[in-house]
Amino acid sequence: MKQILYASSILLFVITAIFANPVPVSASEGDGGDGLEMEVNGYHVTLDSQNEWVKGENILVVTVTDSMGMPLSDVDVEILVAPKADGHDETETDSHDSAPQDSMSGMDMGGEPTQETGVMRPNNPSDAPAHDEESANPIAMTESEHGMYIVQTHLEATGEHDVHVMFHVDGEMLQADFVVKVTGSNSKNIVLWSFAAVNVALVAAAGVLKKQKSITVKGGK
Amino acid sequence: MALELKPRNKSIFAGGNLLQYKPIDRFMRSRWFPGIIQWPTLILFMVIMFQLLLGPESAHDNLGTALTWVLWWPIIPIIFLFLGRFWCAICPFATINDLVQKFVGNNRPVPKFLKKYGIWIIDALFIFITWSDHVWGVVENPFGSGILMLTLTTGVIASGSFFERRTFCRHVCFLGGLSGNYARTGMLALRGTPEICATCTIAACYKGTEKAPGCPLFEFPKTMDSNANCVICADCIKNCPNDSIQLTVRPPTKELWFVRKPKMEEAFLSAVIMGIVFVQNVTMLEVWSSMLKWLENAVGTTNYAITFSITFAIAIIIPVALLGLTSWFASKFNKVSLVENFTRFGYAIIALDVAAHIAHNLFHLLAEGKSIFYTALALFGQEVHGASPALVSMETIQILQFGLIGLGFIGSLYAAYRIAKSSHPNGKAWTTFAPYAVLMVILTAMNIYLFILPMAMRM
Repeated sequence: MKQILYASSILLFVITAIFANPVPVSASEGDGGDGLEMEVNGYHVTLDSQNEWVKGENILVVTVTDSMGMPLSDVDVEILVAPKADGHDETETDSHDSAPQDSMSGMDMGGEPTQETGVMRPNNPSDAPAHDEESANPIAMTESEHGMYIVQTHLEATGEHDVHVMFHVDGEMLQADFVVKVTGSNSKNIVLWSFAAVNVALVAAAGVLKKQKSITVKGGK
Repeated sequence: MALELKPRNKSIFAGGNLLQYKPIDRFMRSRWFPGIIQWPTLILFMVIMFQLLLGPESAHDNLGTALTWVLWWPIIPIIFLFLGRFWCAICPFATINDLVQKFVGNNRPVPKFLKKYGIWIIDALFIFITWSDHVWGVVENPFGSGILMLTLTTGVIASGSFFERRTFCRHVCFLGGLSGNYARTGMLALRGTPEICATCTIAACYKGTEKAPGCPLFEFPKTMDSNANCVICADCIKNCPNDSIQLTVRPPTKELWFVRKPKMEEAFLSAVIMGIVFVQNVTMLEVWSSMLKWLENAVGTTNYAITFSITFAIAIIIPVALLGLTSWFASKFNKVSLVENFTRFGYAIIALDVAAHIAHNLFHLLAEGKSIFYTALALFGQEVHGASPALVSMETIQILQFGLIGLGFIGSLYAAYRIAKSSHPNGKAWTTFAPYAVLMVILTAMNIYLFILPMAMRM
């Protein structure tokens, strides 16, 4: 019985380790795998992030080509990134006075006269509030190469974001709307792998010591 | 013959042995116990870890956060009250310890410094973890909670790899220290039968047999007179060839009435826990923001780590200082040193600690309980919008909180009276008790005042 329990627990560990593989999943991308793509009035718009849509600093890249596949140069391109309106705003503000209820969708927390302070972590009014991406204005992008426009932006939150790319052609404003998923920073992966490495090292060291001990005992006999 | 010495016919409410009932006896002796509870707990723990580390980053949406801080943390002191330290028998960290030990364990003896300073280390860890939770955010940040769990996992893996039995649980685990203190109020007690143990020379309960390992927490039921380090894993019940072990029900807090070998560090921890409950509540006062502002101006920094540390230190110092002051005052009457009074009567606070801890967390359990179902449903794509997570109304919760504080007050007051009576039978009992009665009134009043104020939620 115990053997079965031990075997099943090891199996569970393995399954957990497989599913827990902490590789960030980038935004769902187009066929090419280099970015999100969309057709707007015959214009082909691609959107990509050089940082794979990870929370924090991101360099966003937009390319616009016409129906012939020719890059569209010297046009005004603007971009607006905002957490998806009906999605989960998972802003990690680290702000002690952030009200968890406010930043999350869904539950009404009962309407009780609660104060917006932490239970286990109190509020800290001195912390700056998080950047509100939803209230941000569109940012003008700079043309770095022929038909390629870039901008550097800071993504405050993880989760799904609406990205609106606006460009002006022949006096007409065209807009391409994308949805991207912003994932957590890679530092999480480093932390998790560090823990995994330390634990594996501990178990390996103990295993080696135990083996040496058993050899010594056998040799002694 | 030995069996006849056991009080087989006594009612369980009169201190009769629960093991006289065949189904209980069979269950405790079964090889399925405690595994049948232990292994599902480990599986649940893995789900929690997965959610905390890789699930939604918002505490509000994270099932791991809900299961840990809305369900587990509030019910754990209740478990200690009814079942003593049984949680530690099924704790997933202990299971990991045992698992690692089975395969690669070197079973080295416990380092001497851990034996000597273990409880002080636990005290320090408990203070540090509570402090870090406030400063860095653990409860409200699923990943932070996950890191705390991973740190504990690393601790038990290290301990299980190199040291014998459950060294980590006995000498390092901060929750073990807390549970050791709280379990003293527990209603379930496991002890050897003195008459039988007196003639025993094999000590199978401590050493272990082919049936089960020796006591995982290094206890010897023959001499054990406290619940502090008994996890009711039933290994000793399985091992004892003389059928000496008894499992009895006793009045809550009974163990506090007389502690044979009181320890300064345990008395200190009981006062510290009271301070921690204070700080959890104080940070929810309406004036907290202005208090913090005032403090920032006073110390000339807006660094939250510094301002909170000052607040935290004050909150912890208050009950420790009050206990010290009371002990000094009592020493004027009973002519016993301050340290001895502090050490002996510190245990009386534990009842109020447990009550305040349960009362504090009752809010989270009852006002946010449904969030466990909502976050679980979200795993299957079922979003719940606009529904209240409360199980009962705020008024009901407050009534329960005040009731609990009232019971804690009675428990502490009576424990102080019994300690005074047993340590000063020569007529100084009442004069020794009086200052501690005042202390219990003050601590209770402080708790009641803090519980009048509304609380914020975890989810």
